[in-house]
Amino acid sequence: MLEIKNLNKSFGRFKAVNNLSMTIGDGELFGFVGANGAGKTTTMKICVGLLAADSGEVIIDGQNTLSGGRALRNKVGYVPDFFGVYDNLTAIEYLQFFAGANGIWGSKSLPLCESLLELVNLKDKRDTQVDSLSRGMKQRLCLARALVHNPDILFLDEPASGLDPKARFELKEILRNLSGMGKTIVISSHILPELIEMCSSLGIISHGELKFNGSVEDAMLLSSGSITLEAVVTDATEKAALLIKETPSVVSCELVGNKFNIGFSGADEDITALMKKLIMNDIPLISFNKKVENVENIFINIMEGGNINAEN
Amino acid sequence: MQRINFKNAVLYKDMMVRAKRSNMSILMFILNLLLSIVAVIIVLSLNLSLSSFQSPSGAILPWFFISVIIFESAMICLVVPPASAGSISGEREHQTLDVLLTTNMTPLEIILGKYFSCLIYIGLLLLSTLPMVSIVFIYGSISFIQILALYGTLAIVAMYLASFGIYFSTICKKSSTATILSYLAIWVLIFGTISITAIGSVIVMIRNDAMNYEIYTLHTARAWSRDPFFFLLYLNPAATVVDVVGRLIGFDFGSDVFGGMDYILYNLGDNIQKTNFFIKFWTPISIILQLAVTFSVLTAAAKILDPTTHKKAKSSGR
Repeated sequence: MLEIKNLNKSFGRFKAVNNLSMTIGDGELFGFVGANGAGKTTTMKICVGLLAADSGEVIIDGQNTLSGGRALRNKVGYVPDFFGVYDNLTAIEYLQFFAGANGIWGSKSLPLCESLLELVNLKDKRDTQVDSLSRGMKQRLCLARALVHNPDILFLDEPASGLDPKARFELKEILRNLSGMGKTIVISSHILPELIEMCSSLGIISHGELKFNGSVEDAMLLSSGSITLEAVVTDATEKAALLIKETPSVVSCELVGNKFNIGFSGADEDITALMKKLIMNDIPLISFNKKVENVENIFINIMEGGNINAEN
Repeated sequence: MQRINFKNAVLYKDMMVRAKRSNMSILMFILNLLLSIVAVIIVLSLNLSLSSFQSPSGAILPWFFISVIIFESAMICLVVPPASAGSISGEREHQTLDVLLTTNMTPLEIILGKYFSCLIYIGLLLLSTLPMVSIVFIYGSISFIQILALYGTLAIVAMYLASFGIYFSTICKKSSTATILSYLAIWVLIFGTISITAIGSVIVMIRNDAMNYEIYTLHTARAWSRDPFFFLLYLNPAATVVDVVGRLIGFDFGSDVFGGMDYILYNLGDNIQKTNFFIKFWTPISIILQLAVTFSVLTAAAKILDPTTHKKAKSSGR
């Protein structure tokens, strides 16, 4: 378990991390969200021992990691936002180098590195020069590199940044597999739809302060008081509008063409009741669904709404 | 105290990468080509200038030997900065330093890995010139041990100068800046120490109200040893090489073989005392001091590289 307590870090007068506290459970896929400059990378760098905090604690499995040392390095793997590779090294040599740097030598090294290449779907690129790999492949290789010493927690800083949709999909699948293997994964990103799709919990950071820490569902609920329903009809729009508006849970109703955007504050049963009501009244309904809230709006709403901790 | 693992992944990786690059073999070829030109010119010109009654070896050997030493020393001064100054800053430029620092290697191990890979590179370049230098064996009178002593001294000079390259590589973001600073450091160590010593000696001379005396009398061993600036010359790698070469072949090219610094001071002052401790043991004192500086500089570089030791360090990422 990763526990961050009252973490502070300043660069001169600029407060990059301001009294940040959060907890990430074992095996969680945690999305760390924030705008550029919000303090995500600084927090991650402190957690992996690349930056010293001004104050606070980072506790991994009961051990305060801010004292640094090899114990911390054995527990964490890190994939930075900008990853570099070496010239004149093949993928297997690259991994073997990092295996050696983590104290894995000799007969253990090669099978381990080959299995990691297989895990990240790069087995066929084993003897390819690292600098000639595509960005997506390099990203997966870096992920394999971070796994070489079998860490408990993986920190990935903007891992999907700059990747094409296929590469993102592949990365997502690998991360899901890793999560299934019991690894705790912390991913920072500002590509919210992907995080929400993939992560089990979220932390939203703004100006160095944690604004939200909880499940994705909690984030959606907290960001907005109501949900939006979409109902598309082929005819009888006036009758349908009357029926919708007289329903108690309906907050607002807007007709665009033959589509109703319905602001709704009721529970799931009330949604079912409304749909049934429209059908029973012979409204030619061709689609009726719950509109997925724009995740960017969730993010902005939470950031503007002050500190919200779903756990409290 | 940081633990040192003698199996160093950075050293292995750097050696592998250097070996795969073609520039090492090209550099070896150029060095040996230049050295062979020097050898041919020296041997031919001296052979032509000598009368048929004289044996050429006595005259050729010291000149060839000195030419080789100058050549090898210059090669070290030119090659060490680019070979060492890109080590850490190169990792920074390739954006691989952060991931390297999150591995199980300590900053000192990373520094030592980089340092020894640079030294092995320089060592291989030096060794590649050994066959050319072995021309002296044709004429005899210079032993293999003397050649080894020379190479040993050059290796210590390379160790000394490379530590500055590594240090600047640690503090500079760009390899180009680190390389320029490394060249500057070499310049200061060789010419700066001489200049400061000379200026300092004049200051000491004026303070001692010695201007009325013959200027060279102050270059007696006693005066030198009382002059605090004089000790700066121990940090000068060129002075060490000169002293060693003097001890190996003697600058008078005769039987009176003594250290190079003895020779220089002897010619500067007329009351030089060869038995003076600081002069007599110039080579060991300077080597010990230079190795101590090397160790300190590398330790300082490791401390700077450690992200947890300098809390106020700036970070580019947020």
